[in-house]
Amino acid sequence: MTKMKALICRECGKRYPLEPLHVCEFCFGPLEVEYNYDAIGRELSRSAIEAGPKSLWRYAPLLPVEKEPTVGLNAGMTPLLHAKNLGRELGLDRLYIKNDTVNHPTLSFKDRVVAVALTRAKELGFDTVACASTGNLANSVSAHAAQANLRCFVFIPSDLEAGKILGNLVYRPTVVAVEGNYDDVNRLCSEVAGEYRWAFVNINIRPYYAEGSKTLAFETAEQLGWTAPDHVVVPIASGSLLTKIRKGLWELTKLGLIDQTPTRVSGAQAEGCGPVATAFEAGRDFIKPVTPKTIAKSLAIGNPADGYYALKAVRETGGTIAAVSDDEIVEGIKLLARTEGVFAETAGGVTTAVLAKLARQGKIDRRELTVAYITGHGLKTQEAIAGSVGDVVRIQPSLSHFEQTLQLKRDA
Amino acid sequence: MTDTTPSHQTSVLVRIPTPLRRLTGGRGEVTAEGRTVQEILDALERQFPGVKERLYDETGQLRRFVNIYVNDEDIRFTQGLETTLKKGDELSIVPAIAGGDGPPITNRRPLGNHGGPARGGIGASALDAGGAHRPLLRPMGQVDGARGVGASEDAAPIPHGPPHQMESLWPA
Repeated sequence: MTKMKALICRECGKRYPLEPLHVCEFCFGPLEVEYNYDAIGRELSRSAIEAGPKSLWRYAPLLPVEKEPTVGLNAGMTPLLHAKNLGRELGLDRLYIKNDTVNHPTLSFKDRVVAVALTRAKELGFDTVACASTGNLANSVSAHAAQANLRCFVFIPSDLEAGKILGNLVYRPTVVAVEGNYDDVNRLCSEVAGEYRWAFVNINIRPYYAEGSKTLAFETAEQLGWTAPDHVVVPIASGSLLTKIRKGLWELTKLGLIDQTPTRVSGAQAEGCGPVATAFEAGRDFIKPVTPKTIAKSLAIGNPADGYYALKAVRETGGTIAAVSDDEIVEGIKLLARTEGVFAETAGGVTTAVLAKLARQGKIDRRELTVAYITGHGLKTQEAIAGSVGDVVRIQPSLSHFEQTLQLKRDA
Repeated sequence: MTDTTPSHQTSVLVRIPTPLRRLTGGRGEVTAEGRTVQEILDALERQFPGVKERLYDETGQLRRFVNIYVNDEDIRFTQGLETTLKKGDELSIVPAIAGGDGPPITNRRPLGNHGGPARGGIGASALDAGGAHRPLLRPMGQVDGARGVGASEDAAPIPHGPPHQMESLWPA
Protein backbone atom coordinates (compact mmCIF):
# COMPACT_ATOMS: atom_id res chain seq x y z
CA MET A 1 0.00 0.00 0.00
CA THR A 2 1.30 3.41 -0.81
CA LYS A 3 1.77 5.95 1.93
CA MET A 4 -0.69 8.47 0.51
CA LYS A 5 -4.30 7.38 0.44
CA ALA A 6 -6.16 10.39 -0.90
CA LEU A 7 -6.71 14.08 -0.55
CA ILE A 8 -9.31 14.69 2.11
CA CYS A 9 -11.30 17.80 2.86
CA ARG A 10 -10.35 19.20 6.20
CA GLU A 11 -13.85 20.50 6.76
CA CYS A 12 -16.28 17.87 5.49
CA GLY A 13 -14.13 14.78 5.05
CA LYS A 14 -14.87 14.31 1.37
CA ARG A 15 -12.07 12.45 -0.40
CA TYR A 16 -10.43 13.23 -3.72
CA PRO A 17 -7.77 11.59 -5.88
CA LEU A 18 -4.14 12.61 -5.35
CA GLU A 19 -4.23 15.25 -8.06
CA PRO A 20 -3.34 18.93 -8.20
CA LEU A 21 -6.47 19.95 -6.30
CA HIS A 22 -6.72 22.17 -3.28
CA VAL A 23 -10.31 23.10 -2.61
CA CYS A 24 -13.26 20.89 -1.76
CA GLU A 25 -15.89 21.28 -4.43
CA PHE A 26 -18.62 20.88 -1.90
CA CYS A 27 -17.69 23.18 0.95
CA PHE A 28 -14.57 25.02 -0.28
CA GLY A 29 -12.61 23.55 2.63
CA PRO A 30 -8.89 22.92 2.17
CA LEU A 31 -7.74 19.53 0.94
CA GLU A 32 -5.06 17.74 2.85
CA VAL A 33 -3.08 14.58 2.17
CA GLU A 34 -4.41 11.55 4.00
CA TYR A 35 -1.61 9.18 4.89
CA ASN A 36 -1.51 5.50 5.57
CA TYR A 37 0.28 5.77 8.89
CA ASP A 38 0.26 1.98 9.34
CA ALA A 39 2.37 1.50 6.25
CA ILE A 40 4.61 4.45 7.10
CA GLY A 41 5.10 3.20 10.64
CA ARG A 42 6.34 -0.15 9.38
CA GLU A 43 9.24 1.38 7.50
CA LEU A 44 10.06 4.40 9.63
CA SER A 45 12.32 4.31 12.67
CA ARG A 46 14.76 6.65 14.32
CA SER A 47 17.69 4.68 12.95
CA ALA A 48 16.25 4.62 9.43
CA ILE A 49 15.87 8.38 9.55
CA GLU A 50 19.34 8.89 10.99
CA ALA A 51 20.81 6.80 8.18
CA GLY A 52 19.08 8.95 5.58
CA PRO A 53 20.40 11.88 3.59
CA LYS A 54 21.45 15.05 5.42
CA SER A 55 18.47 16.94 4.09
CA LEU A 56 14.76 17.06 4.71
CA TRP A 57 14.47 13.99 2.49
CA ARG A 58 15.50 11.83 5.42
CA TYR A 59 11.83 12.18 6.35
CA ALA A 60 10.59 11.23 2.88
CA PRO A 61 8.19 8.58 4.21
CA LEU A 62 6.24 11.41 5.84
CA LEU A 63 6.28 13.67 2.79
CA PRO A 64 3.65 13.61 0.03
CA VAL A 65 5.71 12.36 -2.89
CA GLU A 66 5.47 8.94 -4.48
CA LYS A 67 8.92 8.38 -5.90
CA GLU A 68 12.49 9.44 -5.25
CA PRO A 69 12.86 13.18 -4.76
CA THR A 70 14.01 15.06 -7.85
CA VAL A 71 14.07 18.70 -6.78
CA GLY A 72 15.59 20.42 -3.76
CA LEU A 73 17.81 17.56 -2.72
CA ASN A 74 19.79 19.72 -0.32
CA ALA A 75 17.03 21.57 1.45
CA GLY A 76 16.61 21.32 5.18
CA MET A 77 18.74 19.98 8.04
CA THR A 78 19.56 23.50 9.13
CA PRO A 79 21.24 24.11 12.49
CA LEU A 80 19.39 24.08 15.77
CA LEU A 81 21.33 26.53 17.92
CA HIS A 82 21.33 26.49 21.67
CA ALA A 83 20.83 30.23 22.09
CA LYS A 84 22.61 30.71 25.38
CA ASN A 85 23.33 34.40 25.00
CA LEU A 86 19.84 35.32 23.92
CA GLY A 87 18.39 32.99 26.55
CA ARG A 88 20.45 34.71 29.24
CA GLU A 89 19.23 38.08 28.11
CA LEU A 90 15.59 36.98 28.04
CA GLY A 91 15.70 34.84 31.18
CA LEU A 92 15.10 31.57 29.34
CA ASP A 93 17.31 28.67 30.41
CA ARG A 94 16.64 26.36 27.49
CA LEU A 95 16.18 28.47 24.40
CA TYR A 96 16.94 27.17 20.91
CA ILE A 97 16.89 28.85 17.52
CA LYS A 98 15.99 26.80 14.47
CA ASN A 99 18.08 28.65 11.95
CA ASP A 100 16.47 28.47 8.54
CA THR A 101 18.30 31.59 7.43
CA VAL A 102 20.83 29.14 6.03
CA ASN A 103 18.53 26.86 4.12
CA HIS A 104 19.71 25.77 0.69
CA PRO A 105 19.58 27.30 -1.84
CA THR A 106 17.69 30.54 -1.13
CA LEU A 107 18.12 31.16 2.61
CA SER A 108 14.59 30.72 3.88
CA PHE A 109 12.29 27.95 5.07
CA LYS A 110 10.54 28.12 1.73
CA ASP A 111 13.28 25.89 0.32
CA ARG A 112 11.58 23.11 2.27
CA VAL A 113 8.10 23.50 0.89
CA VAL A 114 9.38 24.11 -2.62
CA ALA A 115 11.55 20.98 -2.60
CA VAL A 116 8.42 18.99 -1.83
CA ALA A 117 6.11 20.96 -4.12
CA LEU A 118 8.31 20.78 -7.20
CA THR A 119 9.15 17.14 -6.70
CA ARG A 120 5.42 16.50 -6.56
CA ALA A 121 4.70 18.81 -9.49
CA LYS A 122 7.12 16.82 -11.63
CA GLU A 123 5.49 13.59 -10.54
CA LEU A 124 2.18 15.03 -11.67
CA GLY A 125 3.63 15.82 -15.07
CA PHE A 126 3.83 19.61 -14.95
CA ASP A 127 6.39 21.51 -16.99
CA THR A 128 5.53 24.98 -15.63
CA VAL A 129 5.58 26.11 -12.03
CA ALA A 130 4.33 29.30 -10.45
CA CYS A 131 3.55 30.89 -7.12
CA ALA A 132 2.01 33.86 -5.36
CA SER A 133 4.63 35.15 -3.00
CA THR A 134 5.64 37.74 -0.47
CA GLY A 135 9.20 37.19 -1.68
CA ASN A 136 10.89 34.20 -0.13
CA LEU A 137 8.69 31.68 -1.86
CA ALA A 138 9.27 33.32 -5.22
CA ASN A 139 13.03 33.22 -4.62
CA SER A 140 12.88 29.55 -3.86
CA VAL A 141 10.55 28.56 -6.69
CA SER A 142 12.71 30.54 -9.14
CA ALA A 143 15.92 28.88 -8.02
CA HIS A 144 14.56 25.36 -7.91
CA ALA A 145 12.79 25.78 -11.25
CA ALA A 146 16.06 26.89 -12.83
CA GLN A 147 17.84 23.83 -11.54
CA ALA A 148 14.99 21.50 -12.49
CA ASN A 149 14.55 22.97 -15.98
CA LEU A 150 10.98 24.03 -15.38
CA ARG A 151 9.26 27.06 -16.88
CA CYS A 152 8.58 29.50 -14.06
CA PHE A 153 6.25 32.41 -13.32
CA VAL A 154 6.37 34.14 -9.97
CA PHE A 155 3.85 36.73 -8.84
CA ILE A 156 4.86 39.26 -6.20
CA PRO A 157 3.55 42.54 -4.82
CA SER A 158 5.29 45.35 -6.68
CA ASP A 159 6.62 46.99 -3.51
CA LEU A 160 8.86 44.12 -2.41
CA GLU A 161 12.34 44.63 -1.03
CA ALA A 162 15.03 45.06 -3.69
CA GLY A 163 16.92 42.00 -2.48
CA LYS A 164 13.91 39.79 -2.94
CA ILE A 165 13.17 41.10 -6.42
CA LEU A 166 16.77 40.65 -7.49
CA GLY A 167 16.72 37.24 -5.86
CA ASN A 168 14.07 36.24 -8.35
CA LEU A 169 15.36 37.90 -11.49
CA VAL A 170 18.77 36.32 -11.30
CA TYR A 171 17.30 32.87 -11.94
CA ARG A 172 15.48 34.16 -15.05
CA PRO A 173 11.88 33.31 -14.28
CA THR A 174 9.08 35.57 -15.46
CA VAL A 175 8.60 37.90 -12.51
CA VAL A 176 5.14 39.44 -12.44
CA ALA A 177 5.03 42.42 -10.08
CA VAL A 178 1.39 43.08 -9.27
CA GLU A 179 0.25 46.57 -8.32
CA GLY A 180 -1.25 45.65 -4.99
CA ASN A 181 -0.53 43.79 -1.79
CA TYR A 182 -0.04 40.07 -1.30
CA ASP A 183 -3.74 39.45 -0.85
CA ASP A 184 -4.32 41.00 -4.27
CA VAL A 185 -1.55 38.83 -5.72
CA ASN A 186 -2.97 35.74 -4.11
CA ARG A 187 -6.44 36.36 -5.35
CA LEU A 188 -5.21 37.07 -8.88
CA CYS A 189 -3.18 33.86 -8.82
CA SER A 190 -6.19 31.85 -7.70
CA GLU A 191 -7.94 33.05 -10.81
CA VAL A 192 -4.90 32.53 -13.05
CA ALA A 193 -4.53 29.02 -11.66
CA GLY A 194 -8.05 28.26 -12.81
CA GLU A 195 -7.14 29.06 -16.39
CA TYR A 196 -3.67 27.61 -16.94
CA ARG A 197 -2.35 24.16 -16.39
CA TRP A 198 0.53 25.29 -14.23
CA ALA A 199 1.70 23.94 -10.92
CA PHE A 200 1.01 26.87 -8.62
CA VAL A 201 2.92 25.58 -5.65
CA ASN A 202 0.83 27.39 -3.05
CA ILE A 203 -2.47 27.03 -4.86
CA ASN A 204 -3.24 23.80 -6.70
CA ILE A 205 -0.16 22.05 -5.29
CA ARG A 206 -0.77 23.42 -1.81
CA PRO A 207 -1.86 20.18 -0.15
CA TYR A 208 1.58 18.75 -1.00
CA TYR A 209 3.59 21.95 -0.69
CA ALA A 210 2.38 22.83 2.81
CA GLU A 211 3.50 19.44 4.12
CA GLY A 212 7.13 20.43 3.57
CA SER A 213 6.90 22.67 6.61
CA LYS A 214 6.51 19.62 8.84
CA THR A 215 10.20 18.96 8.35
CA LEU A 216 10.97 21.90 10.63
CA ALA A 217 9.28 19.97 13.43
CA PHE A 218 10.89 16.66 12.47
CA GLU A 219 14.37 18.15 12.47
CA THR A 220 13.82 19.99 15.71
CA ALA A 221 12.77 16.81 17.50
CA GLU A 222 15.64 14.79 16.03
CA GLN A 223 18.19 17.50 16.83
CA LEU A 224 16.95 17.61 20.41
CA GLY A 225 17.66 13.89 20.68
CA TRP A 226 14.18 12.74 19.69
CA THR A 227 12.36 15.01 22.07
CA ALA A 228 9.65 17.51 21.37
CA PRO A 229 10.13 21.04 22.67
CA ASP A 230 7.89 22.31 25.45
CA HIS A 231 7.13 25.48 23.57
CA VAL A 232 7.59 26.69 20.01
CA VAL A 233 7.34 30.27 18.75
CA VAL A 234 6.44 30.48 15.07
CA PRO A 235 5.82 33.45 12.78
CA ILE A 236 2.34 33.62 11.25
CA ALA A 237 1.79 34.77 7.68
CA SER A 238 -0.84 32.49 6.15
CA GLY A 239 -0.77 30.40 9.32
CA SER A 240 0.27 27.26 7.48
CA LEU A 241 3.78 27.00 8.93
CA LEU A 242 2.48 27.04 12.49
CA THR A 243 -0.14 24.38 11.89
CA LYS A 244 2.31 22.16 10.06
CA ILE A 245 4.92 22.36 12.80
CA ARG A 246 2.29 21.16 15.18
CA LYS A 247 1.27 18.44 12.76
CA GLY A 248 4.87 17.29 12.42
CA LEU A 249 5.21 16.86 16.15
CA TRP A 250 1.89 15.08 16.22
CA GLU A 251 3.01 12.66 13.53
CA LEU A 252 6.25 11.79 15.30
CA THR A 253 4.24 11.09 18.42
CA LYS A 254 1.73 8.98 16.58
CA LEU A 255 4.50 6.92 15.02
CA GLY A 256 6.15 6.40 18.39
CA LEU A 257 9.33 8.26 17.39
CA ILE A 258 9.03 10.71 20.27
CA ASP A 259 7.19 10.63 23.55
CA GLN A 260 4.06 12.64 23.69
CA THR A 261 4.88 16.14 24.84
CA PRO A 262 2.15 18.70 25.10
CA THR A 263 4.10 21.25 23.08
CA ARG A 264 2.67 24.73 23.39
CA VAL A 265 2.47 26.43 20.03
CA SER A 266 2.69 30.23 20.04
CA GLY A 267 2.47 32.62 17.12
CA ALA A 268 4.21 35.84 16.16
CA GLN A 269 2.79 38.62 14.02
CA ALA A 270 3.52 42.23 13.22
CA GLU A 271 1.15 44.84 14.62
CA GLY A 272 0.84 46.27 11.13
CA CYS A 273 -0.57 42.96 9.93
CA GLY A 274 -1.84 41.01 12.89
CA PRO A 275 -5.28 39.65 12.02
CA VAL A 276 -4.64 36.36 13.79
CA ALA A 277 -3.18 38.04 16.87
CA THR A 278 -6.19 40.36 16.97
CA ALA A 279 -8.64 37.45 16.78
CA PHE A 280 -6.72 35.62 19.49
CA GLU A 281 -6.78 38.65 21.73
CA ALA A 282 -10.49 39.17 21.13
CA GLY A 283 -11.35 35.54 21.73
CA ARG A 284 -12.86 35.27 18.25
CA ASP A 285 -12.56 32.23 16.02
CA PHE A 286 -12.91 34.10 12.77
CA ILE A 287 -10.26 36.26 11.20
CA LYS A 288 -11.16 39.74 10.09
CA PRO A 289 -8.93 40.59 7.14
CA VAL A 290 -6.75 43.68 7.39
CA THR A 291 -4.82 45.82 4.95
CA PRO A 292 -1.17 45.17 5.80
CA LYS A 293 1.14 47.98 6.74
CA THR A 294 4.39 46.63 8.16
CA ILE A 295 8.06 46.36 7.35
CA ALA A 296 7.69 42.59 7.80
CA LYS A 297 6.61 42.14 4.21
CA SER A 298 7.12 38.40 4.22
CA LEU A 299 4.40 38.18 6.89
CA ALA A 300 2.15 40.78 5.26
CA ILE A 301 -0.86 38.61 4.54
CA GLY A 302 -3.99 40.48 5.55
CA ASN A 303 -6.35 37.62 4.78
CA PRO A 304 -4.51 34.55 6.06
CA ALA A 305 -6.15 31.43 4.68
CA ASP A 306 -4.92 29.19 7.46
CA GLY A 307 -5.46 31.80 10.14
CA TYR A 308 -8.44 29.95 11.50
CA TYR A 309 -6.46 26.76 11.89
CA ALA A 310 -3.47 28.55 13.36
CA LEU A 311 -5.72 30.14 15.94
CA LYS A 312 -7.18 26.78 16.78
CA ALA A 313 -3.75 25.15 17.08
CA VAL A 314 -2.56 27.87 19.43
CA ARG A 315 -5.63 27.65 21.61
CA GLU A 316 -5.68 23.87 21.72
CA THR A 317 -2.07 23.68 22.80
CA GLY A 318 -2.20 26.41 25.42
CA GLY A 319 0.00 28.75 23.43
CA THR A 320 -0.42 32.44 22.80
CA ILE A 321 -0.09 34.97 19.97
CA ALA A 322 1.52 38.37 20.23
CA ALA A 323 2.16 41.18 17.80
CA VAL A 324 5.04 43.66 17.74
CA SER A 325 5.60 47.08 16.19
CA ASP A 326 7.97 47.88 13.36
CA ASP A 327 10.42 49.40 15.85
CA GLU A 328 10.33 46.23 17.91
CA ILE A 329 10.92 44.18 14.76
CA VAL A 330 14.08 46.14 13.99
CA GLU A 331 15.21 45.71 17.60
CA GLY A 332 14.44 42.00 17.31
CA ILE A 333 16.67 41.65 14.26
CA LYS A 334 19.47 43.47 16.05
CA LEU A 335 19.01 41.51 19.26
CA LEU A 336 19.30 38.16 17.52
CA ALA A 337 22.33 39.30 15.56
CA ARG A 338 24.04 40.81 18.61
CA THR A 339 23.47 37.76 20.83
CA GLU A 340 23.61 34.77 18.53
CA GLY A 341 25.34 35.96 15.38
CA VAL A 342 22.28 35.24 13.26
CA PHE A 343 21.16 37.85 10.78
CA ALA A 344 17.44 37.36 10.25
CA GLU A 345 15.07 39.06 7.89
CA THR A 346 12.11 41.03 9.22
CA ALA A 347 10.05 37.90 9.91
CA GLY A 348 12.86 36.73 12.17
CA GLY A 349 12.76 40.13 13.84
CA VAL A 350 9.06 39.58 14.48
CA THR A 351 9.70 36.16 15.98
CA THR A 352 12.58 37.35 18.14
CA ALA A 353 10.67 40.40 19.34
CA VAL A 354 7.62 38.31 20.19
CA LEU A 355 9.85 35.80 21.96
CA ALA A 356 11.29 38.62 24.05
CA LYS A 357 7.86 40.02 24.75
CA LEU A 358 6.43 36.68 25.86
CA ALA A 359 9.45 36.03 28.06
CA ARG A 360 9.08 39.46 29.63
CA GLN A 361 5.40 38.85 30.26
CA GLY A 362 6.10 35.49 31.85
CA LYS A 363 4.18 33.69 29.12
CA ILE A 364 7.18 31.50 28.47
CA ASP A 365 8.46 29.78 31.57
CA ARG A 366 12.18 30.08 32.29
CA ARG A 367 12.55 26.30 32.32
CA GLU A 368 10.51 25.52 29.21
CA LEU A 369 12.53 24.07 26.36
CA THR A 370 11.63 26.71 23.80
CA VAL A 371 12.38 26.74 20.09
CA ALA A 372 12.00 29.91 18.03
CA TYR A 373 11.76 29.50 14.26
CA ILE A 374 13.89 31.97 12.34
CA THR A 375 12.72 31.57 8.79
CA GLY A 376 14.68 33.83 6.46
CA HIS A 377 18.00 35.63 6.00
CA GLY A 378 18.54 39.30 6.78
CA LEU A 379 20.45 40.06 3.60
CA LYS A 380 17.10 39.89 1.83
CA THR A 381 15.52 42.75 3.77
CA GLN A 382 18.39 45.15 4.33
CA GLU A 383 16.15 48.19 3.95
CA ALA A 384 14.51 47.38 7.26
CA ILE A 385 17.60 48.05 9.34
CA ALA A 386 19.55 50.43 7.15
CA GLY A 387 20.21 53.53 9.21
CA SER A 388 19.70 51.83 12.55
CA VAL A 389 22.80 49.69 12.85
CA GLY A 390 25.43 52.41 13.21
CA ASP A 391 28.11 53.22 10.71
CA VAL A 392 31.66 52.20 9.91
CA VAL A 393 34.65 53.89 11.43
CA ARG A 394 36.43 55.65 8.56
CA ILE A 395 40.20 56.07 8.76
CA GLN A 396 43.27 56.71 6.67
CA PRO A 397 45.41 53.60 6.07
CA SER A 398 47.86 54.38 8.84
CA LEU A 399 48.43 52.90 12.28
CA SER A 400 48.54 56.29 13.90
CA HIS A 401 45.27 57.37 12.40
CA PHE A 402 43.73 54.09 13.45
CA GLU A 403 44.80 54.53 17.06
CA GLN A 404 43.98 58.17 17.14
CA THR A 405 40.47 57.59 15.80
CA LEU A 406 39.59 54.60 17.95
CA GLN A 407 41.48 55.77 21.01
CA LEU A 408 42.60 52.24 21.72
CA LYS A 409 45.22 51.29 24.27
CA ARG A 410 47.91 49.00 22.89
CA ASP A 411 48.30 45.52 24.36
CA ALA A 412 51.34 45.37 26.58
CA MET B 1 -30.24 51.28 -21.77
CA THR B 2 -27.83 53.69 -20.25
CA ASP B 3 -25.93 53.96 -17.05
CA THR B 4 -29.01 55.40 -15.45
CA THR B 5 -30.68 52.00 -15.66
CA PRO B 6 -32.67 51.38 -12.51
CA SER B 7 -30.32 49.70 -10.11
CA HIS B 8 -32.50 46.66 -9.61
CA GLN B 9 -31.74 45.66 -13.16
CA THR B 10 -28.01 45.84 -12.68
CA SER B 11 -26.33 43.09 -14.60
CA VAL B 12 -22.81 42.24 -13.52
CA LEU B 13 -20.12 39.85 -14.57
CA VAL B 14 -19.52 37.06 -12.08
CA ARG B 15 -16.27 35.11 -12.09
CA ILE B 16 -16.81 31.50 -11.15
CA PRO B 17 -13.98 29.56 -9.48
CA THR B 18 -12.99 26.15 -10.76
CA PRO B 19 -14.70 24.18 -7.99
CA LEU B 20 -18.07 25.65 -8.96
CA ARG B 21 -17.78 25.29 -12.69
CA ARG B 22 -19.36 21.89 -12.66
CA LEU B 23 -22.56 23.74 -11.82
CA THR B 24 -22.17 26.40 -14.49
CA GLY B 25 -21.60 24.05 -17.35
CA GLY B 26 -17.88 24.71 -17.21
CA ARG B 27 -18.26 28.46 -17.61
CA GLY B 28 -15.78 30.63 -15.74
CA GLU B 29 -17.72 33.85 -16.30
CA VAL B 30 -21.44 34.35 -16.18
CA THR B 31 -23.72 37.35 -15.83
CA ALA B 32 -26.30 37.81 -13.12
CA GLU B 33 -28.65 40.57 -12.06
CA GLY B 34 -29.05 42.13 -8.68
CA ARG B 35 -28.37 45.25 -6.66
CA THR B 36 -26.38 43.64 -3.89
CA VAL B 37 -24.01 40.74 -3.50
CA GLN B 38 -26.80 38.84 -1.81
CA GLU B 39 -29.12 39.41 -4.73
CA ILE B 40 -26.48 38.39 -7.23
CA LEU B 41 -25.89 35.16 -5.37
CA ASP B 42 -29.63 34.53 -5.24
CA ALA B 43 -29.79 35.11 -8.98
CA LEU B 44 -26.90 32.73 -9.51
CA GLU B 45 -28.76 30.08 -7.56
CA ARG B 46 -31.77 30.48 -9.83
CA GLN B 47 -29.59 30.07 -12.91
CA PHE B 48 -27.41 27.33 -11.48
CA PRO B 49 -29.18 25.47 -8.73
CA GLY B 50 -26.81 24.21 -6.07
CA VAL B 51 -24.47 27.19 -6.04
CA LYS B 52 -25.73 28.59 -2.76
CA GLU B 53 -25.38 25.33 -0.95
CA ARG B 54 -21.70 25.40 -1.82
CA LEU B 55 -21.23 28.97 -0.71
CA TYR B 56 -23.27 29.05 2.50
CA ASP B 57 -23.06 26.87 5.56
CA GLU B 58 -26.02 25.37 7.33
CA THR B 59 -26.50 28.52 9.41
CA GLY B 60 -26.83 30.69 6.35
CA GLN B 61 -23.42 32.32 6.67
CA LEU B 62 -20.91 32.40 3.86
CA ARG B 63 -18.55 29.49 4.38
CA ARG B 64 -15.25 30.22 6.06
CA PHE B 65 -13.17 29.58 2.96
CA VAL B 66 -15.27 31.57 0.50
CA ASN B 67 -13.97 35.01 -0.41
CA ILE B 68 -16.08 37.38 -2.47
CA TYR B 69 -14.75 40.46 -4.19
CA VAL B 70 -16.60 43.29 -5.88
CA ASN B 71 -14.15 44.56 -8.44
CA ASP B 72 -10.96 44.29 -6.40
CA GLU B 73 -12.43 44.84 -2.96
CA ASP B 74 -13.00 42.02 -0.47
CA ILE B 75 -16.63 42.47 0.63
CA ARG B 76 -15.57 42.07 4.24
CA PHE B 77 -14.01 45.50 3.86
CA THR B 78 -17.27 46.93 2.54
CA GLN B 79 -20.83 46.00 3.48
CA GLY B 80 -20.49 42.26 3.19
CA LEU B 81 -23.42 40.64 1.45
CA GLU B 82 -25.20 43.99 1.44
CA THR B 83 -22.46 45.58 -0.66
CA THR B 84 -24.12 47.24 -3.62
CA LEU B 85 -23.07 46.87 -7.23
CA LYS B 86 -23.53 49.05 -10.23
CA LYS B 87 -23.51 48.34 -13.88
CA GLY B 88 -20.14 47.22 -15.13
CA ASP B 89 -19.00 45.95 -11.77
CA GLU B 90 -17.47 42.53 -11.49
CA LEU B 91 -18.05 40.05 -8.73
CA SER B 92 -15.45 37.34 -8.10
CA ILE B 93 -15.91 34.26 -5.99
CA VAL B 94 -12.50 33.02 -4.90
CA PRO B 95 -11.77 30.13 -2.58
CA ALA B 96 -9.33 30.81 0.22
CA ILE B 97 -6.19 28.79 -0.21
CA ALA B 98 -5.58 27.11 3.07
CA GLY B 99 -3.31 24.20 3.78
CA GLY B 100 -5.18 22.50 6.54
CA ASP B 101 -4.98 21.97 10.17
CA GLY B 102 -2.70 19.20 11.20
CA PRO B 103 -3.83 16.03 12.85
CA PRO B 104 -5.91 13.89 10.53
CA ILE B 105 -9.50 14.90 10.52
CA THR B 106 -10.92 11.63 11.72
CA ASN B 107 -8.75 11.72 14.78
CA ARG B 108 -9.91 15.14 15.81
CA ARG B 109 -10.68 15.34 19.48
CA PRO B 110 -11.64 18.21 21.66
CA LEU B 111 -8.81 20.09 23.28
CA GLY B 112 -6.05 17.92 24.47
CA ASN B 113 -2.36 17.79 23.88
CA HIS B 114 -1.91 17.51 20.17
CA GLY B 115 -5.56 17.22 19.47
CA GLY B 116 -4.87 13.69 18.31
CA PRO B 117 -5.41 10.38 19.94
CA ALA B 118 -3.65 9.38 23.09
CA ARG B 119 -0.27 7.95 22.37
CA GLY B 120 -0.89 4.48 21.21
CA GLY B 121 1.28 4.38 18.26
CA ILE B 122 0.49 3.43 14.81
CA GLY B 123 -2.30 0.97 15.17
CA ALA B 124 -5.22 3.13 14.33
CA SER B 125 -5.83 4.00 10.74
CA ALA B 126 -6.75 7.56 10.10
CA LEU B 127 -9.97 6.25 8.70
CA ASP B 128 -11.19 3.90 11.33
CA ALA B 129 -12.58 6.47 13.66
CA GLY B 130 -15.30 7.07 11.08
CA GLY B 131 -17.94 9.59 11.90
CA ALA B 132 -15.69 11.91 13.81
CA HIS B 133 -15.84 14.50 11.10
CA ARG B 134 -18.37 17.20 11.17
CA PRO B 135 -21.45 16.19 9.21
CA LEU B 136 -21.43 19.32 7.16
CA LEU B 137 -22.84 17.95 3.99
CA ARG B 138 -25.72 15.76 3.28
CA PRO B 139 -25.48 13.66 0.17
CA MET B 140 -25.97 15.94 -2.77
CA GLY B 141 -27.80 13.86 -5.34
CA GLN B 142 -26.46 14.20 -8.80
CA VAL B 143 -23.39 16.11 -7.89
CA ASP B 144 -22.41 13.68 -5.18
CA GLY B 145 -19.72 11.43 -6.43
CA ALA B 146 -19.11 13.66 -9.37
CA ARG B 147 -15.70 13.80 -7.88
CA GLY B 148 -14.23 12.22 -4.83
CA VAL B 149 -15.90 9.82 -2.53
CA GLY B 150 -18.74 10.45 -0.15
CA ALA B 151 -17.50 11.32 3.29
CA SER B 152 -19.61 8.65 4.83
CA GLU B 153 -18.19 5.90 2.71
CA ASP B 154 -15.47 4.74 4.94
CA ALA B 155 -12.20 4.14 3.16
CA ALA B 156 -13.74 3.74 -0.23
CA PRO B 157 -10.98 3.17 -2.75
CA ILE B 158 -9.62 6.08 -4.65
CA PRO B 159 -8.76 5.43 -8.24
CA HIS B 160 -5.01 5.33 -8.45
CA GLY B 161 -2.99 5.90 -11.52
CA PRO B 162 -1.41 8.65 -13.49
CA PRO B 163 -3.34 11.88 -13.34
CA HIS B 164 -4.09 11.99 -17.02
CA GLN B 165 -6.30 8.95 -16.58
CA MET B 166 -8.45 10.82 -14.14
CA GLU B 167 -11.09 13.28 -14.95
CA SER B 168 -9.45 16.61 -14.52
CA LEU B 169 -10.67 19.89 -13.21
CA TRP B 170 -8.21 21.82 -15.29
CA PRO B 171 -9.25 23.43 -18.46
CA ALA B 172 -7.40 22.08 -21.43
